[in-house]
Amino acid sequence: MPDREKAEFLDGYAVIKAARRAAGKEKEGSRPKKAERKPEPADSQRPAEGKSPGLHIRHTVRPPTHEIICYECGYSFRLTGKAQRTFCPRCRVILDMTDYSIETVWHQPIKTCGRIRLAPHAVVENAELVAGEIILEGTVKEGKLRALRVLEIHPRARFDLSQVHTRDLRIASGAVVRSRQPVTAENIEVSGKLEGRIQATGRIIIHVGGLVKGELSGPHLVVEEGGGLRARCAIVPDTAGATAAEPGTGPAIARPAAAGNTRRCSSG
Amino acid sequence: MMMNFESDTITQSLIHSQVEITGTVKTEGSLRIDGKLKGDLECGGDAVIGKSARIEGNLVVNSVSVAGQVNGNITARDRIEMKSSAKVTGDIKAKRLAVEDGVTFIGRSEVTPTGPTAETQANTRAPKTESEPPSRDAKGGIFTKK
Repeated sequence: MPDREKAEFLDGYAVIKAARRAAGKEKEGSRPKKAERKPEPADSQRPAEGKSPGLHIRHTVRPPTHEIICYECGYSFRLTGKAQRTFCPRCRVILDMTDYSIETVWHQPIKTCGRIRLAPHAVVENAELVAGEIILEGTVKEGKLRALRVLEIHPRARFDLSQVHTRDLRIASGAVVRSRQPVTAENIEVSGKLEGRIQATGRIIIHVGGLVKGELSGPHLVVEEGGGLRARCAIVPDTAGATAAEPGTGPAIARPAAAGNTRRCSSG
Repeated sequence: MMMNFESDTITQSLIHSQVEITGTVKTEGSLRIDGKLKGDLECGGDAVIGKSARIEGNLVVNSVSVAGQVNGNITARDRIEMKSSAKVTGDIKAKRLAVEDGVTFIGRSEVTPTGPTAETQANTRAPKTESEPPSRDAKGGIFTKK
């Protein structure tokens, strides 16, 4: 059924808006004004008998959207619902949105707007991984990682930081990251230990039990009580707000991957 | 203008926003500063640096909440809290630190993490140490008491 397949990619909010628009056109002129409306009973959410339920949608909840960043042109847009593929509105490239879970040795490149999880015993060799979110628990040998949104580093992760590019960096509890070269990201969340020269253009958040050592510079710093900070700091908020991150746009907590949309990757 | 509010146990002092003090301020109780202080502050209790406060000097306190401007080092025996309006230029040292988004902080920080994870680890270790034989270094152990 081609119609059903098409319907999976439709925006739910857009459908509701279209229904309301259609209802408005049908009822144009005949709809009473707000002041003339009679007080409604308590169970007014139910449509009146004999009338179509689509004509009486008054309050709708905007469905949650998630950010998609095109791995070809870098364009960022928001999308509701789940899909395995979508189009980039700017460059018109078909974007893969599948979540991958690598559990053994892996040699092939992956490009996805979804999530890649490297299991603790997984090894990536000579491959470039590009994903919206990378959860790094395994080892990366001679490979490149590019996280379009978030890179999450876990305690067993082994990698070369110079081969990693990410917008937001998240260091999980128990993970230790030491770097001689500067660690640069937009938002940095530390629940483990981060040592080095840290430069953030957005917000640095040190959670309970987290520790930052070395040098720290950026416009925003948040330290939860119980977090450690043993560093030379230069925290100067950008008053113009050009690089300042909006509240709530920081790295979010990782959600478990949807079982139906996750591919397991394994190769000899 | 200086006002003292004395209760049975705690003494809280207030330096009003129109007051400017040059010199060292020492108190054993709690203190709130909304004015200007050119000098050091030694506070045995808790100090509150209000939004309109400006301090040019070092602070030695038990715990402090900073919402104003401090040009100097802050040493707290317990806790430093920086509100979003705080502007601190100087080194800070404390057992615990809480920083809100929006602060301006230029200086060195010396705060070691003390989270619930550390506390839970300590709690889980506690029963083990009871079952273990006492060491020579343990205070109050059988080797130290005669």
